[in-house]
Amino acid sequence: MKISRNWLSNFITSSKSDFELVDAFTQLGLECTSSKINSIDSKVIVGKVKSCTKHPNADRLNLCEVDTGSDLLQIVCGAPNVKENILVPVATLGSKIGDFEIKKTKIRGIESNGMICSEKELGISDNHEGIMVLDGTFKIGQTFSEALKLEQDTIFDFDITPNRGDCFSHLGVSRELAIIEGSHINLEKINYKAGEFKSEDAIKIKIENPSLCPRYSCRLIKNVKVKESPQWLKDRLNAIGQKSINNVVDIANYIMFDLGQPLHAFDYDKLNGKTISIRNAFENEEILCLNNENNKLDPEDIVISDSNGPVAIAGVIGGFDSQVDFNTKNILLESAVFDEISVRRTSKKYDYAKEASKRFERGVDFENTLYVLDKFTKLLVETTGGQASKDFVDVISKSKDTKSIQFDFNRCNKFLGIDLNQNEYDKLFKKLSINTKFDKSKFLCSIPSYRNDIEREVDLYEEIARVYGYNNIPIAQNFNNSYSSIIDNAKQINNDIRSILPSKGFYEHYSNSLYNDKVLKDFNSYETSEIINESSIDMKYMRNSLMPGLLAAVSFNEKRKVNHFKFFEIGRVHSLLKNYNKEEETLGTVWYGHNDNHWRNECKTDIYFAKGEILSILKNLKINNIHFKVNKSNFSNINIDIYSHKTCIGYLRQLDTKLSKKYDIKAPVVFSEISIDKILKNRIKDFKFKSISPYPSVKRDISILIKKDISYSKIIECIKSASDNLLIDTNIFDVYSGKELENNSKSLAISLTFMSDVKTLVDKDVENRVNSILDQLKEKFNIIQR
Amino acid sequence: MFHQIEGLYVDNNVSFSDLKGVMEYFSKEYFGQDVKVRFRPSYFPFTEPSAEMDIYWGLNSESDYRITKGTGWLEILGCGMVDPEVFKNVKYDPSLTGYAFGIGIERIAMLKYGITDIRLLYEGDIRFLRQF
Repeated sequence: MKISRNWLSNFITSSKSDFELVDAFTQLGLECTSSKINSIDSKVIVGKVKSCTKHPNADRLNLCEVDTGSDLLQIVCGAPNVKENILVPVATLGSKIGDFEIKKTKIRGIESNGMICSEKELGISDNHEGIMVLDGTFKIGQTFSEALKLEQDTIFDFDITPNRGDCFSHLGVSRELAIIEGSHINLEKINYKAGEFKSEDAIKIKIENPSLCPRYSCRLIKNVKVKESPQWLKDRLNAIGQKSINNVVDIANYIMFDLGQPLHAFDYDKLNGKTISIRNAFENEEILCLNNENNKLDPEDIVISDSNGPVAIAGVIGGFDSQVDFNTKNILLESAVFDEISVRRTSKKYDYAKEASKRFERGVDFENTLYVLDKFTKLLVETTGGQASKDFVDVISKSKDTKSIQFDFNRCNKFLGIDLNQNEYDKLFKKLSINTKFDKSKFLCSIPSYRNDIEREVDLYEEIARVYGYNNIPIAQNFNNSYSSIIDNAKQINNDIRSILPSKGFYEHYSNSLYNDKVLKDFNSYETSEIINESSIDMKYMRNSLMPGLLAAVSFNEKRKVNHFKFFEIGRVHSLLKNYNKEEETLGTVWYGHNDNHWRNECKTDIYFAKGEILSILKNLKINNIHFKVNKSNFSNINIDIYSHKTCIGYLRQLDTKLSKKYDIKAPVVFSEISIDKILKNRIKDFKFKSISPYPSVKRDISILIKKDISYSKIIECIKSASDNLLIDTNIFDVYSGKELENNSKSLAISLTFMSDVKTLVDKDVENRVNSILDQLKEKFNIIQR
Repeated sequence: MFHQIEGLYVDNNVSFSDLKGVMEYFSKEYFGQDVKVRFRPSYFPFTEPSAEMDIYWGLNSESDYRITKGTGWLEILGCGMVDPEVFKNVKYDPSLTGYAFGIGIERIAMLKYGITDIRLLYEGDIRFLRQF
């Protein structure tokens, strides 16, 4: 909201600088910035173009000689409307236009000693079609800003919080300035000559539902002349970014920005029946609005209606048929209080977030409707020569009692952590224009009618705090309250993952948790929840996998020629189970590319390498009994399911060509998703170290020929079951399948390590076990020992 | 997309002064002991009084002017005393008081490391991640 400093001075003046005021307002809870208007540099002067010829090196530029009284300046000008013998504003060397300083320069090889300015460049208007051409009243050599007689001003742009509806006007901001200055505002006493006729003879007001419209005041003003506004009024409105329409509308707007009460002017002669009722709209009732749109109303909307139907949507927009135009003679002026919630709903529905509804929504001053009418009348009578009725019509359907709130200053001291006495509180309340009585250690505070936001004692604590100054409240230095830090297992495992994976060279990634429907079936077949009010079609679904986000990051990096990296992401994935949205904390990992540009050798990223890393990560996380099963999957040609005990906790896959294309990735990618919620259950909670045997271990190698389709994990399972716990380790160190072997056979070399906790093993102990292992393998898989 | 840390503390005799203390302590730990902070009134529906905390960022470059709107101060977090209505809704003893705050993680991370574009935090650009 824009506030003019000159305008404020009608109510109160301040000797503070703009910068100081911005700071003071901000500290009081009214955040703002400031900018100067009409401050044209004094080095901009009036000059006359003596000659104007084409620039020798550019088609669109002209070479001008400009007489500034004291000098004849050579200036290059690109404006289409420059010509000989015109008066123009010239920014001479050293002047500042916006943030830009005019310097001597060469344009296409020709020296230029200044700039001929457009209105936009000077900040006078948005006109940038050409340079400004001045009429004969200007004199060569005059300082331009003096010649224009522009009023310099500072515009504060406020960001008012939604609770402070009372600050949406110059009056409201003045009250806050009075707090800053420790003084009071002057409210103008209104004097003008009223006519002999009465409004109450001319119009009847009927409020059908008191809660919709607690107060409706209006007044008839006759014989006005609707015309262009006087210059001072145009300037005032222009300064705060408002366009001038005609004198009646402009005065209504002026009063709204002045006092905060929106007004509406009807053409009295266009009203039918001379009775106005304020009521809910009927079902399917229609109104043609000021913006030429026909709106269908519903019973939630409040309308102002004459005997023919609605003439305005209360507080939101006026009707087309009753509007003031240049033929209007008699005006009925409305100043009312409407229900805040209804106005908000209606303005939102019709999308008219206009200045008027903005103020009604935040609550206007119930006690101010007549003063506002009076000030409007005075301005209207002064500028249009109209005549006002002797009286007001003022209908109060629901009166508003002065709010009184009990205030315990000892409690406030404790709440804020300050130590003020009764006297000091008294002073703060005076600043806020809150009248108080003191009784039995408590204040009884009467809240001004414009402060709709103050309803409870705690609201007054805030007022006290902000007027006392948030920054004057002491900063507690010690916190003697006890507390303990709570990290549950679920959070702890995430912390552990975040320390283990980066140490293995993984980078953490965060991706969006909302996806579009194109990627939903790429990694699993779970249905997932849809967002009802999605902000974009690409964020329509809760993700059911972490992979789309991770693969997008892979593709991003591939395009930037990073050839080898690993990512992980921790996040929730969703699946819809019988109308219940299941969330599962998940760890996603990705291995990308080869580090093939290394002087020693190539480090290959494939599914075997990834499987080893997964195993080591899960071991680091102390997850029990991990094993892998190669399983067919609809989502990849190469898929390994990961198990802990009997629970499938996740998968490991190679990205197949179809998905590689879809995610626009060229190099091979291996990826995995593991359910953190599932592994949490199999996590060893109280890990204890196992004592180390003091006796040496014994190693034996076996070499076997076995059918190709039998997996290594099955073989190991068999070996383990054939031996006792003296077998402590197995390792496959050679795999061979070639022409010499039978077609469907492979040769494996496996080393077996035996050790006992109680003695040194002798040959016999080991021989027996190796033999029984071989026997078992022969029996089960029909192997041939080599 | 952005992430937020929320804090809530409820006890006997918790004051606005305590809130200021904790927020200032955090700022000094995070931005350094020399950081200058200020509190100013604001509005949130669930706290009363409400405040926003600014740190003094300075006006040493054109971008400082832009991000601080020419004031030198930069908003860091929102906070306030828990509104009694909140306690009422969750049936807490009305004599309790407390404070709450919310800090945008990306915002303070960007300030601390001089990151100018929030998208860098979500693209997964290895050349960016490698630096941390």
